[in-house]
Formats: sequence, structure tokens, C-alpha cells
Amino acid sequence: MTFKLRSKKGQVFLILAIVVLIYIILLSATVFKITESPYFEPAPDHEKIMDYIDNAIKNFYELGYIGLSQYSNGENKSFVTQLIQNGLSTIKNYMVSSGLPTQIELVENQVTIMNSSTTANPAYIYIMFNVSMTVDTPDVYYSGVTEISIRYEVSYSEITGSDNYVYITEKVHDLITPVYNADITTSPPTTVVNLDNGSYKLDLQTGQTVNILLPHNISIWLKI
Amino acid sequence: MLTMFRRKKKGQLFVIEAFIAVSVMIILVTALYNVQLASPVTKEPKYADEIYTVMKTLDKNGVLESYLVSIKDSNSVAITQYKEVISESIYSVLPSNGEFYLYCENITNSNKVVAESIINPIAQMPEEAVSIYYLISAIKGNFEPYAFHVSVWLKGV
Repeated sequence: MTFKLRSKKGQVFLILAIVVLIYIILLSATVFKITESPYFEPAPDHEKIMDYIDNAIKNFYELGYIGLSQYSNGENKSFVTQLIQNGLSTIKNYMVSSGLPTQIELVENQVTIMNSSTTANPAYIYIMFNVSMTVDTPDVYYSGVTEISIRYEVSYSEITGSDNYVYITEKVHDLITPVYNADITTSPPTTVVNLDNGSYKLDLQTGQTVNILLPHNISIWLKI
Repeated sequence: MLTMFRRKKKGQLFVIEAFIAVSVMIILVTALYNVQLASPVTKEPKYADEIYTVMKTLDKNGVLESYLVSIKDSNSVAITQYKEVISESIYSVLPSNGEFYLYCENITNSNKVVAESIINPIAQMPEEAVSIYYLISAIKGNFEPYAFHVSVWLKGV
């Protein structure tokens, strides 16, 4: 009788011990889940810093347009290079004063800027330079080289008859878009009709000078 | 002798009852926590990114540059027009009780505020206001950097 009681006690004890073990495992699993972060929210400043970086890159492109404008209005390449360097320095100081340790550099201090002769068809003007930027904050580390490549191209149709056309496109890297808000004047003067799709209808004559004023105050001259 | 046996049995029963009670509580807590884990955490909107997108779109459409040009030319009709365009764009991404304050700083003139650029002047900025800065560099092909400051908050919160 005592033996049966003892073995029964032993069995009960064994079962209870196993059950306790299961519960301890469950409890520790729950505690582990609690300590593990359930939802990774990006640091509150992360988005803001990415916006600053995006804004800076946008301003690099603006420096490209500024360079084209100055060059097309008579300045030379070294002036444009200096202007872009000053511009990059200003952008860098702006980022730093906003609390972001930033390095911005014109890669190899090199700006490629060129325009075609006025008698070329198509005539073009383009600028190309690379900017390296590094932003090092506790939340975000960014390091990249942005290539700025902007090219305006103007081509014109044959000049016989009075319905001639000028086509203007802007090429940023490989993306070509028509320029529908250019201002065209000719000498001797003629009526210009803007067809709102990058082409302009006018009467071209040999010996005419055509001035095309693109957005950002960039000029291209054509000598027909 | 029988009483001792009964006492033992009572004691054992009590232990088993207590054990079951504790295990039920543990199961309850685990189940509740798993349910809470399954539902996603809601993020409180801060509007900083939306306002930045608005400023970027306004810049792309030339509104910011034209606004500064009209201020330089003292063209009051154009200034009012652009103020309206900018205000409408910003209000369109804020809830109905959202408010903003905008001004422009001339970077090359030691960050001096351009007085005519102020929209919705306010005496005191609420503490919870979120600030967004937007830099533009080109005015009509010349290097003239200006920084737009936009502060956004919710009224009555």
C-alpha cells in the first residue's frame, strides 16, 4: 500500500514538474518577445535629414543651370567653375548651420561646359560636373557622388517657304523633355508661334539671327 | 490517522488549485500580449515630409523663384498672387486645424529675413511647431541663395 502511494506520489510529482517546465518555457518566450522591439520606427530625424540631402542635390542641379546661364551670357569656363565651387561651399555651410556635419566637393574641381557655334544645326549648350557629398550624423550616414549633366539642344527645319520650325529639347542625364516655355526673338523680326510641345513655328531666312531665351535665363544664338 | 490522510489530501488539492490558478493567469497574459503584438502601432503624423514635398513641387513649377522675383521687383499684385498659391498648396496637405508660418532668408546677406516674404505673421510660435527649411539657389540664372522657413502646427491641440 505504501509503495503504491509512493509511486503515485512520484507520478504526480513528475507530471507537475513537466507542466511547470512547459510554463517556464512559455513565460521566458513571452518575456523575450517583450524585450524584443516589435516595431522598428525610423529615428525621428531620419526623414528630415533625407529631405535636407534631397534638397542639397536639387541645388546642385540649380548650380548647373546657373553655370549654363552665365556661360551663355558671356562668362568663361573658369568663372563658371569658380561660381559653382562658391555655390557648393554655400550649400555646405547651410547644411552645417542646420546641424548636419557635411562635406561637399566638386570632383576633381572639373566642370565641363561647352556650346556649339551659332551656325550649327542642331545647336547645343551643355554642362557636366560631379559633386561628392558626405553627411555624417549619429542617425544617418550618407556618402555619394551626384553627376550633374544638363544639355539643351536646338534644331531647326529647312528654311524654304514661310512655315519653318525650331525644336528645343532639354536633356538631363538620359531624360529628354521638350522645352515649351522658351522665348524666341529673331532679327530681322518675325512672328513666332509657340506650339506648346517644344516646337515653334516661324519664318526662317538665310542670314537671320535667332535668339532663344530658355528658362533660367540661358541663351542660345542661331545664325541661319 | 484518517484525519492526517484527509489533511494531506486537502493540502495537495490546495496546491493543485493554486497551480491551476497561476497557470491560467500566465496563459491569459501571454494570449493578451500576443494579440497586442499582432495589431500595428499607429504613427502620429508630423507633416514635415508632406510640407517638404509641397515646397519641392512649388520649386519645380517655378513658383518659389517667381515669388522672390516679384518681391525684388516690388510687384505687389504678383506678390499677393504667389502668396495665395503658396498658402493654398500648404493648407492642402494640412488638416482643417493646421496652421503655418513662412518666411524667407537671404543667405548671402547673413541670413537676413526678407520682410516682404512673410506669410501668416504670428506673434509667438507654439512650442510643438515643426519647422521645415527649403533652400533654392538660382534666381533668373544668377546664384542668389534663399532659404524658405516653414513652421507648421495644429491649432487647439
